[in-house]
Amino acid sequence: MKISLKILLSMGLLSVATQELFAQAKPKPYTEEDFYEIKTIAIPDEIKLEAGGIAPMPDGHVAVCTRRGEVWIIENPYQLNGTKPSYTLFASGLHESLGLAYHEGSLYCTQRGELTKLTDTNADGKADIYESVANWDLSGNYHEYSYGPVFDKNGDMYLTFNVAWVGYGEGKLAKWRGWLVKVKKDGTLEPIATGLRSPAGFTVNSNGDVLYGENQGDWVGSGRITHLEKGDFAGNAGGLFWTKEPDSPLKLTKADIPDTGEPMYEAAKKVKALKLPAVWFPHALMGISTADMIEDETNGKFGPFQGQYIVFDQGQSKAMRMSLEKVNGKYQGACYPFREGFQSGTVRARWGNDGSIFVGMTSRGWGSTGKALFGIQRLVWNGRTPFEMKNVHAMPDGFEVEFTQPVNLKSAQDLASYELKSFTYKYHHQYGSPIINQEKTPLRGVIVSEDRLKVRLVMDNLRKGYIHEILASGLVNDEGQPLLHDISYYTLNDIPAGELAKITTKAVPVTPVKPATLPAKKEKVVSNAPVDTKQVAALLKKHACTSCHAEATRVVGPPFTEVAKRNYTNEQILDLVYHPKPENWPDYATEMASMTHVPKADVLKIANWINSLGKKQKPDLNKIENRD
Amino acid sequence: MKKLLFLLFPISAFAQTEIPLNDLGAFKNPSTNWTIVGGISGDYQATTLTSTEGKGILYGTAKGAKYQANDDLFFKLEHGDIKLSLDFMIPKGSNSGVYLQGRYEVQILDSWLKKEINDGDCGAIYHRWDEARGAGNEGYEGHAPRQNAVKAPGLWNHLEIDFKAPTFDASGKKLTNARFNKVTLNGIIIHENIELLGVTRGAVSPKEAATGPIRIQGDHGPVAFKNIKYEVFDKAIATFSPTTYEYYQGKYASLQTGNAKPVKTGTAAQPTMKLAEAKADFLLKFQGKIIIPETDNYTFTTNWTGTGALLIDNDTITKGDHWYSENVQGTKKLSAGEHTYTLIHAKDFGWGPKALGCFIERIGTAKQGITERTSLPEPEATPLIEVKVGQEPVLQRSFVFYGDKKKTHAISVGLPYGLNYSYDLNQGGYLQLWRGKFLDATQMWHDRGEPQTSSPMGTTVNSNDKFPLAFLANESAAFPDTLTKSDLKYKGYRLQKYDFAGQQIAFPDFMYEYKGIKVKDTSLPMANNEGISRRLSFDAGSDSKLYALLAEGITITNIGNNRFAVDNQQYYVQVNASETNKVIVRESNGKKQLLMPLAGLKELSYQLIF
Repeated sequence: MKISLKILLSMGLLSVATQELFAQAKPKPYTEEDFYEIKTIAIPDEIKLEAGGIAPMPDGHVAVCTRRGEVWIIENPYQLNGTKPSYTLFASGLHESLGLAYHEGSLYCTQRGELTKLTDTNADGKADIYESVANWDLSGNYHEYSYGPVFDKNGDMYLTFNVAWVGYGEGKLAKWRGWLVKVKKDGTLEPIATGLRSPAGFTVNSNGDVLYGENQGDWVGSGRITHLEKGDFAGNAGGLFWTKEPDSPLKLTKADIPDTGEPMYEAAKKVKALKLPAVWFPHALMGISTADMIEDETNGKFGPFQGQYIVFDQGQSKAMRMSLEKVNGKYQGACYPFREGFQSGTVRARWGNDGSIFVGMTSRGWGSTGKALFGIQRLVWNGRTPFEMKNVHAMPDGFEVEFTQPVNLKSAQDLASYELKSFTYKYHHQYGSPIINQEKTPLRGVIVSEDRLKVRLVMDNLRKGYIHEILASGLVNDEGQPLLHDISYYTLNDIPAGELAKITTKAVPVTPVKPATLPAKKEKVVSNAPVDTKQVAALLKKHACTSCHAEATRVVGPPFTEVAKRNYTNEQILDLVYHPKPENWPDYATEMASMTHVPKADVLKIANWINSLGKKQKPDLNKIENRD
Repeated sequence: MKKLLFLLFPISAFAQTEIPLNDLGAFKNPSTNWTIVGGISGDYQATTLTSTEGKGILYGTAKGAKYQANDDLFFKLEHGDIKLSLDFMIPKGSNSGVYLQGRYEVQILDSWLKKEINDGDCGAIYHRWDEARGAGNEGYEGHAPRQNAVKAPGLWNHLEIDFKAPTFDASGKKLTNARFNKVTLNGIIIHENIELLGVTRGAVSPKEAATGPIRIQGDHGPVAFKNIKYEVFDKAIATFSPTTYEYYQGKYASLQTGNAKPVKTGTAAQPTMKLAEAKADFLLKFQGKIIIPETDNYTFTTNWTGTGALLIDNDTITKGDHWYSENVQGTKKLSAGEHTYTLIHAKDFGWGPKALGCFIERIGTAKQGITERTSLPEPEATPLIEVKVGQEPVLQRSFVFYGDKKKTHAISVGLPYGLNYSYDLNQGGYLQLWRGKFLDATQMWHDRGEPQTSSPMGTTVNSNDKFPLAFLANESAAFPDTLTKSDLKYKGYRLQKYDFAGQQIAFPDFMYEYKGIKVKDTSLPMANNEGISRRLSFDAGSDSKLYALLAEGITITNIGNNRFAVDNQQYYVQVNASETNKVIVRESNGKKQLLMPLAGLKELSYQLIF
């Protein structure tokens, strides 16, 4: 009930925004649900299905392991023709199991300290053998989560190990924390790569390559996906303690890491083993806690994105999309918004047998935009093709954007249809990073392909190692529909060689964009100024504030009404938006990132609105705070 | 990020004064049923206890005729409010009780193995009695314990009682009822904050009074006591003058206000957080006088979220950055008369509840608030997450505290009918065994579950976390403390069906490889649920030097029939020795060990009874 109300409210906001953008004659814009449906799988009332792992089985059953250590097998999870699913408890008593795989008749489950093979040998539907395939040390720190297994083609398994949290990510408390390891058939662990902080999601792709998702944190300016090869160091220094072990594939030590706050791309020039992410997922703009990812190998059953990846974000309860290409032998690519609105924190995803995605969710103690504490849903393509940027390829002088439908020529040729810029993050031991070095990437011209499925953007100021944002809000298709998602972020680690486009337009001089440090416009925001709620709602959405905050309910971050109770001045709120103090909100698992890219005038308008919430009810100073 | 120091709660002694048990001098005219002995032991199947001469144990032999009221034992100590702690032991079928003020009984009874318990069972606050209520309805207002927490006959039980006496006005009219603030049996809270509307059955008098003697029932059956300690709350309390206060706004993490001017000053009846208007960025300073009634050592407790300090006569008693649920304590000897206190608290961040508490106590007084009652918020309400056991065993892995160490590869197993154990999978050893409710998983499953621990909910016996088998050069060679992964490989467990209570029930067989031999370790409930039967099977060669360590403790007493009482009668172990495989009691590192050579055997079974 709460959820549907919330969706209605956000739709209300959308329609306000869109009425301003489009004249009445324009078609009603499509929404994500017009193409991809979220189907909820009913869970019996007494089951706390805090899904940590999902394993679809060949017979159509789906196994789910939970943070409470249970493994449930769901019969009829597709609920065909409105039928109901049926749940059987296959195993229980495991320790916070966060990964599950089906392999040759058994389920393989990762507990905190053990990879366990669960087998039902007497055909009663319950595991009777809990075989310890491999086990590893733990310190007892809660943040030492263990994930996997993911099988490769040889039947070997990969696991990832979080570092401990002791005010920063610490790997030394137990062996191989902060590592990707391979479990060989005899149960021994082979360390593969380190630098992992909170690697909740990873996959072995169709080329046999391991890709893993990282959460913003110390040494990690923003969420990202990195291709891990043997001997790689992915950035977080916690796991480097174990490179002294004889079987470590790298010898790098923490002392070798420059902790200067320069971009990771610069640091990687000095540290050979430091692996750059293939794709950055800009914090809050895309997601806030990268979770699972799966490659689309459905041959069209899931839509037009074969070979791409669907990537989930636990905190924002949503799916994103990622395209990869290899430039000079290394993966890089782009990310795109895809589908919001899952019921809880989307941790785990696996393909169902029909080309839909099972999404397992939990948010207990972690928070998420979806308000349910747990759940399982299915993401299903309904056969209609959305108008999307299908792919973005790096070019010697810009990007080639591929679309799922032909673009309207006039809109595509209009340079005003595009807004382009690039930015990056600091590489340092601190938690997260503000956006830094943001600059415009002026568009010199566009070339539209004959079939109008490709637009080549010829740009100045391409910078290696930077995230290049492509906003194409002016584009429409033949129907007059705008893009379903008009933004993508391409991580340009390398620029391919090739023929330059022939454009005669004069180059525009580069001007840095630093809205945060620009003096505020003359329009003065006085603290008792009347509040334009509609305008604020649009700003909250535009700057992705609503990804983590709601007016009066706890989402990932505190509700605005709680912020109001702190009695900050508008200027103090501005300061906190630019320089967040997570220690002010110790009950919230996810720390806020610095939002210096949001213009000061916008923040002050929002701050003024927040403080207007406080005026409605005088805070009771003596009320005991609910520290749930 | 600001770091607040989190202290473990200081564990203060529950009761301070010990009743000497060198003789019966502490008691009023004890009958010949009562004697002082040096040692005592029992057997869970025996209806008598066996004593040895000496001192330190109070033994009610019940050798006289039953139900002779003069066999009850009265302490010379007259008490009102009291904290009492003691150890007691009873043989099979016995019955006794501890009457506070001679009037309010906490029942002692052999309720071992009883599944349904009521207000007559061990630990119960016994019912009241009124013939006028009619036959069969005389008993009323009794309180059954929350769960059956008593141990097997012949083992020591530990009982703690926190009792509040009734109060009366000058005319003798009762103002407040008697109350059991808390009763704990073998570490399990069995009552908390229970008011008694009148005396329980068998009281010395139906009339309630401000004081009375402790009385032990001595005419129903044998019972032994030791470690009887108490604290009575009869000493004069401190009084306070009104306080002056200064309220500053701003950040004062150093507690130094320098030249800053307070926003507000004044006087108040008591220091209180209510005087701080801001949620954050303030400093409150209170100064007042404490009138100390008698020269003594006084303990002060402070609580705040943020930083602060308490000074008595300019001596710093407590200080530092703390979370408000921490009880930060300091003690100072104070002479009778007037003393000054200065209580300063600053909060320079927005999170966390505003809280300020300051308390004074000494032995013989309850904790008195110097601060106003609402100045310190109550702790958060966290729901219990309990793992329950039904007809089949329940297994649950978690971290498990073993002493102050976390065992990271531990599993707790709840067997049907209330026997449970925690087991270290890395070592193949019991961490603890318990009887009663299974598992409290709150610290693992509430919120993020940062401790990731679960804990027993019943009467617990600690074990040694040792793999029970070892190859030893000879029978005096040391038994290994811990095993490495190369010596002991945990292979997993199989849920194997066993006959139990006429049904086929699956119990876990834990599988190991120990130095090349395969070992299977299974724990089953004993037939009548007296304890846990451990079955070990191993494929060692018949001439091997394999030994089993069956028990370890400060004492191991052979009580006959291949049965031993372990660790000052904390539990029994029943072994299956033979002429070729005799058990040995030996000394090792200051502890007694019960060792059995396993040459020629392929399996071993022994029972732990508690």
